[in-house]
Amino acid sequence: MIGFTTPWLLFGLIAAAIPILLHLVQRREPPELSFPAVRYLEDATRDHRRRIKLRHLLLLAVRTLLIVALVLAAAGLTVRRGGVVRHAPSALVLVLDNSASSGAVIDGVPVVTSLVAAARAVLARATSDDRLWLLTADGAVRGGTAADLGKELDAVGVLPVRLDLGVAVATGRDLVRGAGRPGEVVVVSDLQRTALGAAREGSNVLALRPDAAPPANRSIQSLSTSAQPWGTDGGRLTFAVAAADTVAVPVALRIVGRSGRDLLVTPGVPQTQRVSGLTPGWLTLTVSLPPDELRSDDVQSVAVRVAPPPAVRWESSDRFVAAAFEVLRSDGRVRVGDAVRFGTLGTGASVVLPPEDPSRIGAVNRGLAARGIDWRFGAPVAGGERSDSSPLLPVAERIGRRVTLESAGGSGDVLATVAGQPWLVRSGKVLLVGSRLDTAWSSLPLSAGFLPFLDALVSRAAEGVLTTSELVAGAELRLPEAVSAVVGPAGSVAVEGGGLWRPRTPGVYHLVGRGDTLGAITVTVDPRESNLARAADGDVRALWSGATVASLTSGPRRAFTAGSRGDLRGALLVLALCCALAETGLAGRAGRRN
Amino acid sequence: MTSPVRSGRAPRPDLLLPAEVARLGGLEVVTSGIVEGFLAGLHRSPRRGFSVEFAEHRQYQPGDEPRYVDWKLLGRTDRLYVKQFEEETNLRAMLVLDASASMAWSGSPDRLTKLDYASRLAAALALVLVRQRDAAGLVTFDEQVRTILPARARVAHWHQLAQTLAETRAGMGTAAEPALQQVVGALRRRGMVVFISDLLLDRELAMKALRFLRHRGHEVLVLHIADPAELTLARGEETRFRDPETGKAVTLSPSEWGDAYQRTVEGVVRAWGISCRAAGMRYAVVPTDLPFGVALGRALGA
Repeated sequence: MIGFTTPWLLFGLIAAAIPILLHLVQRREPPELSFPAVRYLEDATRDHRRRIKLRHLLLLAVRTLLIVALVLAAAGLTVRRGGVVRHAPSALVLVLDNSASSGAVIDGVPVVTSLVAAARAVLARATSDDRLWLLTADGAVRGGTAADLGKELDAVGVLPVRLDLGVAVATGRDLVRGAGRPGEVVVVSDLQRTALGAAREGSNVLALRPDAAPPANRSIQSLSTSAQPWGTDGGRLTFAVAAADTVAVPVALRIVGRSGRDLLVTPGVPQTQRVSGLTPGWLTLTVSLPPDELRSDDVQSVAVRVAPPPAVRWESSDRFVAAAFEVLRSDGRVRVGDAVRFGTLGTGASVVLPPEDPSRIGAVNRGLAARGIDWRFGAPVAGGERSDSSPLLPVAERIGRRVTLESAGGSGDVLATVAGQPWLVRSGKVLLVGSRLDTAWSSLPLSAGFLPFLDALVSRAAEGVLTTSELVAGAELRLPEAVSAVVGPAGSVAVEGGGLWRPRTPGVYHLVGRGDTLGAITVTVDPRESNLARAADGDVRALWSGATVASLTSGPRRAFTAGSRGDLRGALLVLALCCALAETGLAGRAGRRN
Repeated sequence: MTSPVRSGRAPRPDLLLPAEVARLGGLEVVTSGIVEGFLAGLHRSPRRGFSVEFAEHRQYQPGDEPRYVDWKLLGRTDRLYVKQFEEETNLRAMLVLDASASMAWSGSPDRLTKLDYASRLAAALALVLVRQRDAAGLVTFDEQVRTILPARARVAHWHQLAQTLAETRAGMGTAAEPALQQVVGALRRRGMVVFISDLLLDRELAMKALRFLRHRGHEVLVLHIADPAELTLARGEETRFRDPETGKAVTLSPSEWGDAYQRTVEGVVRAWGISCRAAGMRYAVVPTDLPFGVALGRALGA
C-alpha cells in the first residue's frame, strides 16, 4: 500500500504532461520546403533515424519520469514495508482527551479508563528509538520514553476542562514536524462533535474512539442570579436544564448550610426561583440533578453576596445620575446616605467624575493626592471612541469626551478601558471615571446598561468588592491587584494580585484581600462538554486531512504506521537526479550532433 | 559571397557572381562577356592540341570527294592523298544538359537556379569551343530527350545553341541514359561529352552510359551543378522537405541532421569523383554561386 504525507501536492502530476504535450506540439505539421536533394536527406537519416527517434522517446520518458519523481517526492510517497516488525524511529504525539466529557460512564466503565487503556496500547508499540509526547486536556505536553509516559498515564484522570481537539492536533503536528522524522499524531478521545476543530496540514492523524455510542446526558445548562448584592429580602435565581429529551427532571436547589427545595423542571425551559430570608454575607447556591452517566455537569453553584443597600450621596445637578439613583432608590438598591459619595471626592468611598470645567482638574488632582489615591485626571480627549468590553461595561458605549486617567505610580485596578486606555480605575475605595455621565460626554446615560453600571459602582466597586463573575474551568483570569488569596473547594490558595489565575475545578471561589472577601467567581464546566454527541468519522477525516479513525480496541495496532512505511522521498530524489543527469546527457548528445 | 573583382577596375564578367552577371543582359550577351573575360585572362588557348591550323593527309579511299585530293602531293609522291579539313580535325563537343525539375531550383533568391546557371555555363563553354573553331552541340533532357543540336563550329550555330539554351525550360523527371545514348549517335567520331547535371539521378545507370561514351573514345567531363543550399543544409526548425521532381517528402530538423547530411553530400561527391576518375572521366563540382570564369576553368582544366 502506498501513502502520501501531503497528497494535495499530487496535483503537481499534471505537470508530468508537459513533456508529452510539448512532444505532441512539436509533432505538429511542420512547414514544407521544396528541396531537390531529398534523396541525400533520406540517405543521411536512413541509418540514424530510428536511433534518434528512440532517443527522443527516451528523452520524453526521462523528462516525464523526472517530473513524476519530483512531484511524488514533494507529496511524500511512502510504502508499507513488507515483513518489517519494528518500525523505523518515529515521532508520536499521543493526545489523550481526558476532558470533562471523558468522565461519562459507558457500560459501567468511565470513558477515561478506556482512553487510558488505548493510550497504553499505543505506547506499548513504541521502541526506545521513538520520540514520544503526551498531550492532555490541561494543555500540558510531556515528552519522554514509553515508560515515562506510562507513569504519566497512571496519574491521568478526568479534568473538568474542555480540550479543543483541533488545537491539540495542530500542536501535535508541530511537534512531529520539529522532530524531523516520520511521525504521527494519535488522538485518543471520545471525539465529541463540539470538541472537534480544524487543524492545519501536517503529519498523519490516527483517531481512536470508543466503539459504543455515547450515553444520553442531562446537565445544568445555565445558572444566574439577579443583580447583586442581594438585599436581606433575597433575590432571584434563574437556571435551565439541557437534555436530549423534554421529560421533566427533578432538580434540587440548595443554599449551602441551609435546607433547600426540590423542583420538577422541563429541560430547555429556564426556571426562575425567588430566594429570600437571607442574612448579610456570602452565600453559595447549588442546583443539582439526579446523577447520570456524566456527573461533572449535574451540579452547578453560584456565589451570592447579601448586603444592605449602600448609602449614596449624589449631586442633584447631574440630572442623568440623579434620575438614575432615584430609580435605584425606589427599587431598594440604594439609599440616601454618606457611605458612598458619587460625583466628587468624599472622605469615604467615592466615585469621582472629571470636573466639567477643565481648569478644575488640578484642584481635583490635589484632592486625590491628599487622599493618597494612586490615579489622577489628565488631559481631555475628544473623539468618537467606544468603550472596551468589561464586566462592568459589557456592551460597548460611545465615549465622545473623556479625560485621561494617569497612574501616580502606586497600585490600582483598571476596571474598564476605552480604546485600550484606562477609563474606570480604582484605588482603595475611590473610583475615577474618565467621562462625566452626561450625554455630552457619553452615550452611557441613555443606554440600558446605565442603571446596572451605577448599581455596580456603588454596591460593589466603591466598596472594594469585585463583581461576581462566571468562568469556565481551564480558562484564565487576571486577578485584581488587591487579591492575595483564593478560597475554593480545595481550600485557600495564596495568589499574587495582578497575576493570571486558571482554576480547573468547578465550584465557587472567593477572592480574598485586605482581610476581606473582595469578590467571588463561579467556575463551571464548559457547557459544550455536556453534549456527548460523537463526530462522524467522515467529519474527522475531513477536518484532519488524511486522518484514520479506528476504535479504541483495534486502533492502537495501527499506530506508528508512519515509521513502518518506507519513506521514498530520498529514493525519489535520487531517481530525479539520475533522470536529470540522463536528460542532460541525452540532450547534450543531441546537441553535439548539431 | 562577394564579387572577387577589385574595385576601381573594370569588372570582368567571368569573375562576377553568377546572379550579378545574369542581370547584365540576355544569355548570349552575358555569355559573350563571360567568354571574353575568360579568354583574356588565359593568355593561351584553353585547348592545346586542337589548333585551327592543324591538318593532315590520309590515303584516298573510294568515295572521297575529288576536290579534296592534294594534287601537289600527288605530283611529288605519285600517291593519292586527300586533305584532312579543319572541321574534321577539331574537337567536337556535345554538351548534355539536364533540364529536369530538380534543376529549376535555387536555395536563395540571390542565386540563379541550377538550370539557369548550367545554361549559361553551357553556352559559355560552347562559345569558347566555337572561338577555337571547335564544334559544339547540345542535348537537353528531362525524363526524355528534349533537344538535339548537332556539333557545329560556326558562330551562327552557337547563336542557335544559345537561343535553344535560353528557351530551355525545366521538365519533370530525369532520364540521363537516353540522352547519353543520343550523344553516341551524334558523335560518330571521338569527341568530348560535357555532362551538366545536378546528378540527382541514378548514379549507376548514368555511369554506365558515361562509361560507354568513354569506351567509344570520347573525352567525358561531368559537371556537377549544385546549389550551395544543397551542399550545406541550413540550420532551422523541423521542416518537411519535398522533392519537386519525385514528390517524395522527408520531415526532419536540419539542426539535428545538418552534420549527417553534410557527410552524405560529401560521400556522394566523393563517390562520383572516384567513379569518374576510375573510368577516365573528369568530374567537377560547380556550385551555383561560383563565378562562371572559375567554373569554365574547372571545366576546361585551365
